[in-house]
Amino acid sequence: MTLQTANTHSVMIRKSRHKSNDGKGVAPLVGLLPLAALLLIWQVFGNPHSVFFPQPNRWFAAIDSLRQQGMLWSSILATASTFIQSMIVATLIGTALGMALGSIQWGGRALDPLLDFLRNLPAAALVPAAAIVLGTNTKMALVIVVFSSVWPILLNTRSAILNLSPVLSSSITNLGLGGFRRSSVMIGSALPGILLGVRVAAPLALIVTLLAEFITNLPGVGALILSAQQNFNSAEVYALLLVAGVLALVVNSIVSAIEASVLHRHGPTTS
Amino acid sequence: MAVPKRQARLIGWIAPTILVGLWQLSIVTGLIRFRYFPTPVAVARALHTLAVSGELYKNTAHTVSVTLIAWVIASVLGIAIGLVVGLSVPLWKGVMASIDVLRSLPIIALVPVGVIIFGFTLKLEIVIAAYAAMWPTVVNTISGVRQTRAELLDVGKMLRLSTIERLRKLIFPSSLPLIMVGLRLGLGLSLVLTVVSEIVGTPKGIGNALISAEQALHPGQMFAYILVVGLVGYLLNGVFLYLAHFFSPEERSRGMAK
Repeated sequence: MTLQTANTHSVMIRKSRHKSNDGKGVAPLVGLLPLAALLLIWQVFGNPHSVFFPQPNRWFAAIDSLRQQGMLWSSILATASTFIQSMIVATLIGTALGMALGSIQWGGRALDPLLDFLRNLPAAALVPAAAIVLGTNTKMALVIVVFSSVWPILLNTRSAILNLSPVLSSSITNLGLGGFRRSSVMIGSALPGILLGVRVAAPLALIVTLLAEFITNLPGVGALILSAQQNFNSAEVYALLLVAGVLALVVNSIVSAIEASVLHRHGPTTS
Repeated sequence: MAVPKRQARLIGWIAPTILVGLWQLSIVTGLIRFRYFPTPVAVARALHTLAVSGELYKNTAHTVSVTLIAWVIASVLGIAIGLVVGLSVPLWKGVMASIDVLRSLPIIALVPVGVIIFGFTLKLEIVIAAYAAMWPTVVNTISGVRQTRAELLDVGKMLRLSTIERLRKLIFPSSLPLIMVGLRLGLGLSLVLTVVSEIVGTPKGIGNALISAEQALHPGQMFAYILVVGLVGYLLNGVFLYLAHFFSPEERSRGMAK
């Protein structure tokens, strides 16, 4: 994986010298215009009584009425609390297990079939099972969210440890570092991998949190969506889609900010 | 790391066996006590019952075929959109931010929108799964096309290849590894979203069987179906990788990297 990243980088550098078209890059905000235009057309030409496609102004009215009922912020808070707790637990467990599996010399890779199977289990299928075994409560939501978002962190940490530079590993051995100091050196150098895992895991954790609330009717944004759907309140369904979208955006920017600040503090990492 | 292949395969079998053994033991000895947590033996028995009654086959066949139909639709649309947007710089600038917004909407919040529009129908399952599965292919095709090396494009110009020839001989092959990754992610998402719409209300398939088993308080059957979903996902992924290898051996290692 390291090799591949290095390759893409060199390709990008060569290309940016050649032509300022670097494949990735941040999309310019002008690109939001088609979406804005679509919403505008929807608003102006939409049918004010449509059940399937309520106009955007009705979405905002629906958000406002949820807010007045006192449902909006309490639900967002419940969802955010489950999400944050699960991310913390998943990061701790994922890092610890990833480091352990990465350090096992005798074929840590041989566990791949089992790990592959577990991480590909659709979280949606696990929700009803967890509900029947653990009962419908916040703890069960935590278990499900952690279970489904731990894998990216675990696997990225493991591959970061497996790809530690040989110089570093032999320095650790030669200096006779052990226990705590050894693991802190290893965590430091695996940090980019761990953060990559967190970046992949965060949106997943948000989706599974919403899913668990949606399927089991636990308090949160997911449960609001469920009741809006069951009441055929389509304006509210679209409104909550918007809320969920904003939540995803916030999660994304927080993760980027954490990533930037941590990697900055640790100096430029050469992966 | 340097474990011989046969030995690795052996360890690969041993770990799950130990896990299942511990699961059985800890329930039998009363170490874990949950009212509805079945033993592996109970799950195996439920699996056998479901297989004999033909229910297992019927539900699995439904879910797998919906997954595949939705995935094919998503792949065709995804590659087409990706090529068009990736090939034109002005178009990319003009729409990419909208694509980013649409693809980062939590898909689960879109399911109820689908339910409002389509009701609990087969259409709902296919549309939702295809919508979710399309984005990884769109995004990966776009970055694949845009990462085509400038030298390669220069070669195309030098040889005076037509646009179609450049696309077919240079751009498409060089972006294929990334496209394959997108297709593989899409396949997984298609299965997940198919199961989600079945759990939420479409009265067919594995997801629906799971919910029926929950309501009938049959934990054995539930876990049997979870096992089946897991196996289906594992096998679809495996078959995809095998076919990718079969069609382009040199791409396999790169396609598997992510």
